[in-house]
Amino acid sequence: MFKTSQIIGLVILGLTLSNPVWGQQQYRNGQALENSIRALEQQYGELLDVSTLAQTTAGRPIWQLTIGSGDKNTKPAIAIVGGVAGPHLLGQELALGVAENLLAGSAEAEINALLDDVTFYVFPQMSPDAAAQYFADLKYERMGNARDTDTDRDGYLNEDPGEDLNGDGMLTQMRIAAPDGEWVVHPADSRIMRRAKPTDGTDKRYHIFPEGRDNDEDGKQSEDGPGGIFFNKNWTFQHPTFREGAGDYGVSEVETRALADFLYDRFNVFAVLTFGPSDNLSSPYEYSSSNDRQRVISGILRSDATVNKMVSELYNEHVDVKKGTRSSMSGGGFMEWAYFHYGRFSYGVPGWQVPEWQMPKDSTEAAQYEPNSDKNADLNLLRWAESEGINNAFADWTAIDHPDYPGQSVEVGGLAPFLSYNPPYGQVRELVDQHTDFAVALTKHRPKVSLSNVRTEQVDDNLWRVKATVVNTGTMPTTSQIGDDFNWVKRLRVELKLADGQALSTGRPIYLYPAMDSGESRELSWLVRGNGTATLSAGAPHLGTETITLNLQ
Amino acid sequence: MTIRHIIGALSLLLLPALAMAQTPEQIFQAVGTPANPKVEISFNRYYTAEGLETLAKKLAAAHPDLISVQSIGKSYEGRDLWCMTVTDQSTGPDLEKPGFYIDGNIHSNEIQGSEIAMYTAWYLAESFGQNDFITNLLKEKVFYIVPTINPDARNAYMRGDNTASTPRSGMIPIDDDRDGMYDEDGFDDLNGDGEITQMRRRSPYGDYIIDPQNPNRMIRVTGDQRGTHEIIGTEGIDNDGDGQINEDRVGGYYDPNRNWGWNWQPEYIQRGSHYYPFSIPENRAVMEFVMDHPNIAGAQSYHNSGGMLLRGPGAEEDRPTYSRRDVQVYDQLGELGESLIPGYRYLVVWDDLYSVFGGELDWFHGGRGIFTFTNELFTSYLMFNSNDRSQEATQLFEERLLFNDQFMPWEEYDHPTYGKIEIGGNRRNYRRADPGFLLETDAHRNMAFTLYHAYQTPKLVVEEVTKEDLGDGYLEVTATIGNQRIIPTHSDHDLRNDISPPDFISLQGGDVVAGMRVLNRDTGDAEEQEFRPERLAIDNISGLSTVDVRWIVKANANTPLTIRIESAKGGTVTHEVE
Repeated sequence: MFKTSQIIGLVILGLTLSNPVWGQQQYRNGQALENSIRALEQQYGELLDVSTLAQTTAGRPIWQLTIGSGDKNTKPAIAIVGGVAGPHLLGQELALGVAENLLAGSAEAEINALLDDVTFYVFPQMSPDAAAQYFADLKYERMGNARDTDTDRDGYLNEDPGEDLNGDGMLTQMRIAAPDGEWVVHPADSRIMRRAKPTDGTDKRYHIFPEGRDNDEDGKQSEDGPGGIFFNKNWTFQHPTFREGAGDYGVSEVETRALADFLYDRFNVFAVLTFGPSDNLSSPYEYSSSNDRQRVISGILRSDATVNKMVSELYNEHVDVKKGTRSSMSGGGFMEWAYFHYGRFSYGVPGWQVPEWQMPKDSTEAAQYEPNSDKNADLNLLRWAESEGINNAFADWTAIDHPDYPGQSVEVGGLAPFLSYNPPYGQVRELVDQHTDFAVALTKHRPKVSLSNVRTEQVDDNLWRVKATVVNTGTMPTTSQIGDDFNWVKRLRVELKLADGQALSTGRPIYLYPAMDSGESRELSWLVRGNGTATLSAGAPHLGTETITLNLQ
Repeated sequence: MTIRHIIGALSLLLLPALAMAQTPEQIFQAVGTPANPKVEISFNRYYTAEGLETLAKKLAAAHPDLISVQSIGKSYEGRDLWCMTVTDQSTGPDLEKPGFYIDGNIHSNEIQGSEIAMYTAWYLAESFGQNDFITNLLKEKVFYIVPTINPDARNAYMRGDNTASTPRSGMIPIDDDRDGMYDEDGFDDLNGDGEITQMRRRSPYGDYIIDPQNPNRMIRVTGDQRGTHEIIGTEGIDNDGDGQINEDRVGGYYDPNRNWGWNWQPEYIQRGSHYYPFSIPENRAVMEFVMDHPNIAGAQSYHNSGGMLLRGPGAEEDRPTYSRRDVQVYDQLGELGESLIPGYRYLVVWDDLYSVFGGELDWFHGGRGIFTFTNELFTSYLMFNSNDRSQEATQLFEERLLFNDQFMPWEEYDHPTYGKIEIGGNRRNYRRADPGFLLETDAHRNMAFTLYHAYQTPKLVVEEVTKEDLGDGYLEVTATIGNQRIIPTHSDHDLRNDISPPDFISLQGGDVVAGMRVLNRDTGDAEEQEFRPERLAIDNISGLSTVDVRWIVKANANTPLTIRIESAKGGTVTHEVE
């Protein structure tokens, strides 16, 4: 797919981009994020514009970084979005890390040249209210923003949050021994629970509930905690209206609306890269003929699937992807919106997956472990976490007296929150470098139009013929297939602007073209009466515009 | 000029109110219409956004205990969206009564919904205290009436270079041809007659002739005939010099009625849907108002034209959103409507009209569980109260009832692109908007349907209460709560999605130790509510049905007790137990 020279070029780039001043030691909370952004602003004033897109209900800022040179909003742009899911702090680090690497790399000729041609809009953290829970006294995987909601729709807001019953500073689970329980202990590790089967009998079963009390005595445990609407469940593509965290309608939140408004105002965006739960980079979305058979399109279109495959291969060249990772799509998701409803090339990836834990080669060591025969994800996560030396990956089950279950055996325990979302911070820098290389490579494959073979022929004293070929010299089509019929993506526009006293005998002053594949071209021809200096231009905000002066005299 | 003339002229200047409003002695009431209103409004003409604002404020000033006016938000160009809250303020706050929402003019060229909404506010206020049905309606319900939710483009339609079909959208500039320029080539009133009509040109190669029966009309030739004219298109020039005419007009294409947050779909699936639900400021203002008024139980959004009482779903894909039980309620309302308004038919948008996403009525029903109709006002049936819509009938109507006021005669014009042409044709106020002499009739009949719809929003009452002494200081209180109208407190769709909170029925005054919903009064089968038993949560009170509730309370027969019903859509009712 790519020439060897391109690949070598990218590998060299990868090496040069490593940021020598990287000193970050841990995932950044809101203050640390702001400090990092302000430090970048101080260091790279010309190349970086910083703004706050909005303030959340809780008053937290949503940061927006524009990286590029000169008049940034007039150049083809890629949007890079992190903090899509609150617990996924890695997404924030990847988005900000790519920004930091690009700015540091601007000292190098290659990145400097890229920043002359392309603008990067970076949104490191779109879920600041939810992400703050990672750093709070009570830690749990929070998705919702700070809007008060009636999650269980009983007429009361936030009336049944979780409680830290064992005082370990995090919300885990409760298990209650009961013959009608749905869970049993996993045979390979008594800490891990798995779904019960009929053959398991009924004497060692458990119910599992979230850690907490049934504050509103409605028989449901901790079903209406603080907040909120989930950033990644509030977008209009297959919006799961009325489901938990989705909101009553699409784009109902400060966070989603601010980003939508920002992006719709910028016709120069040709692609969106999202570091979040949905994945079409580890492996691509696949086209099936049913995708476009219905009025409401629910799967990737044919031509866009070809581009997605190419981009996914590019990703796999730059980032170590866990074998067998499949693409994923979810209703209300941002990455899905950016493709299906914003009409741009849209790619997303979590950036990291919990690795598959390997049984030790040493047989005595291996003997300590029962095989994970049902490929239990929790068991794999726990074994991986302990092999990484992560402390407190599991809160051991401890019996408590639970006021809602007097006289019953109730234990609190379970996997610590956030483990499955974020690798140990020591691994983040390498991930950032890999994803920077990918983002740069993706940007270099953008669609580009150029005017080639421009000819002016003097037909007679006062009559000129102008001919030109407009070509897509980029790797991606000028517009996604889904965006080609979309009002919010500009057409490729070719314009011949004449001087006063000149007029056209054939040809129109403006031509608008639908999507052109890589290498595709259009032939143009005009007959111009009168002498003067004309200008010929071809382009669109998301493609850049090439302008040529024609001396017709 | 004689002194008598001067005094006459002065009195006209100084006493316009007296000059307009007759004294009661001079009036004999026509049945069904307020005879001597405090505010005189002519319902045989149309009003600009500012004209409507003036009328709303006049009504509120004349009826301060019945009407208040507030702005619910701003349009794109910064005009206020004025809402009249109409209710008998002495019977309680508006949020504690079932609410009925009315708007008009979402499509800016569909103007008469505004006058019909205004007629409704006027009729309610002026009939209060005169007519029992209206008086009770304003005691029990509240009406939220927003005559125009598209004031910018209403004015552009009336005053700008537009036809009967434009702008339809609002005034947000849109790059219709995706060339990077906005609204750069619209219609032009070339002959300066204040109307945008058609351009025709004499041509030996044309495919049109002048209708021999009707000189105002062009007809296409058939068979082997050759015509005398060609129809060039709507009045305009190539403003941006791109070789096309009128291709990117002001208020270009987006559709405020495809932009609502229920099954919203993007532009390439649903043309006109704009960026995302409620990205259009006028819609956002209405949405926020509705979210802030959970008491709204019924709604009407007036459009034109065609004589239709429309319910959703707008999109075929949304059929499951309208359950059989909800449709039964719509059917009862719609069928009465058909009999009230001759020539109007009760129809379903996707099935009978077109299948579209993101409509206002879809969001009201799907997003908020509100029973909602859209009336498509005016139909050519009203020309002669007949289904004869033939050319002959139309011509007769135009010549003998409108005296050809609808037509701009063809006029010669020298066009920069087309040369010698003629400009003429129907004016914008014809075909979609009611002719003046039919407007009040159409207003009254459509209002009557809407008032019936509003009347059928839930009416909750404590039907009966029994007390039984259980001994040991316990009193058992059993109450029957009734809904005396056909609309339930929760539509089926609302129940399936838990849109509105449950109805709460509370016993106040004693120490409630247990509370339950009685499932069968005869057998005593009941379902206990452990959490807050004094405030029982009831999922729904269906139309024309009852719910039984029971409390065991530490009290004696003389303890003063109050039952309070709090229903988002059914209102708040307080009942002192005897």
